[in-house]
Amino acid sequence: MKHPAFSLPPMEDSVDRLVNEVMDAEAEGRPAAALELVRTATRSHPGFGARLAATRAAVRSMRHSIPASPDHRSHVHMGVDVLRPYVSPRHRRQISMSRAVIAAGVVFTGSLVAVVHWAWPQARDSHGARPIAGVVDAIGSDTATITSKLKDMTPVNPMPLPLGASDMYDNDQAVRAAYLARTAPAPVGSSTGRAAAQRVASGGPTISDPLPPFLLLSPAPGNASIRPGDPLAGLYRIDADGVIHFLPQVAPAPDNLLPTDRPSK
Amino acid sequence: MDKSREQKHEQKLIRAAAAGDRDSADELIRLHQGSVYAYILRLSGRPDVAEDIVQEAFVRVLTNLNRFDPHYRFSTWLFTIARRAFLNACEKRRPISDSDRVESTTGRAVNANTDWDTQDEHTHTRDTVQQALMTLSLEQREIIVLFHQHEWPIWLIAEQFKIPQGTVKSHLHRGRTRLREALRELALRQNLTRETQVAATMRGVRA
Repeated sequence: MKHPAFSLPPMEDSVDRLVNEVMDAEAEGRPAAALELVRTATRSHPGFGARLAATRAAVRSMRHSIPASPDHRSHVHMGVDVLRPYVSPRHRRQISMSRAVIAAGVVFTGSLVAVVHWAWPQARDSHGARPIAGVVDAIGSDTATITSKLKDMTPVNPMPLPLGASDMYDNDQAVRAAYLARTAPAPVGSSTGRAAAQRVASGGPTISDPLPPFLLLSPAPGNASIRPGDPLAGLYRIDADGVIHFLPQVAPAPDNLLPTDRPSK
Repeated sequence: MDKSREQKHEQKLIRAAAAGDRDSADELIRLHQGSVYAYILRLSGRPDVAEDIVQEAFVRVLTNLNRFDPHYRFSTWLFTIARRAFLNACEKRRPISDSDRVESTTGRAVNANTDWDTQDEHTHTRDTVQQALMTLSLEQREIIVLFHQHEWPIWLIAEQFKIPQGTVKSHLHRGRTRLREALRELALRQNLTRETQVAATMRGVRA
């Protein structure tokens, strides 16, 4: 069996140890200690001076023969450009500008949404509607809970769609009154009411029944004109208040309702 | 320029290069390419290998500048990356024999002396110091080069290799002694060769 001591690196001899101590002291900035060590070692080991000089020369040769490096800049830039291309200062400025514009746009849009929500709070809430989620959650529980959840559910309040000049209904009281008067359901005893009751009894309105009048949303109903070539010209009229009245008449054939290029059969 | 101002300038260059400024990256390469090249050339003994490693190290550094921690020295980081690239290159070039496989499975350190020493004789540098250095083990060579050529302090070398300072000193002492012996042997061999050549020339002149 091999003795473990044989696998250890060879020990430094005493002169080499002294040489290294002197060089360490010099490297650590202790010249006085180094000088003292040199004096002691020179007295005790005659060959110390020569060995110290040889070691210093060996180490010094490393500092004096540093090889000059070729210029690697172009090759490095080529390698870097493949992995992460540099951008020119002009391009960088453009990127910064576009980022600033996008950020400003985001801030402006956010502010606009906030203002709209603040000014028209009804657009934000769900008009008192209770979602169906409560009922879904209650599935599987007792009947009383499900019933109470169903009772809690309320339908969405119908809101007029914000199209055209719909605020005329609220702002212009004359228009509102005229509209309500003309579109109010007929009393049960009147002739119109009886006709309506008959329509309901016979299965609903037919195409030949006149449609209930409705109000144009144009703020200037007088300007609403019927074009001379309009094929629907005989089917309705618009009064001074802008209310459209559909005239009762025989239902036209579907092909005649709108002009078409299709050849007639 | 004093040390702190130099460091501030370097930090400025690093920040600018990380932001994509080509000129700052250029300046960083110019400042450090000499020292990294000398370090890798001393480790490998081959100028072509050293050039490849230096380029690879700089490409890695410049593409990862955003990861650099400014609390550390840039040169230390650069040398670490260059050294890792060198060891990887050694691993790639090294022919794997069965005994090497056994060593790698038993967890023994890979000797990065590689077969570069034995191949392509005429591409080797004829520098005597380099030849003497190549007789040292990789650890000794690295520590000798960092301490005596790049003037790194012992504590920094210990930190770099994650070994105790005593171990660094031990490698340094043995490396110095070995380097001195190798240089002496080389000088003797060169003298012998020269004497032989002179003798041959004299014989030719007499004849």
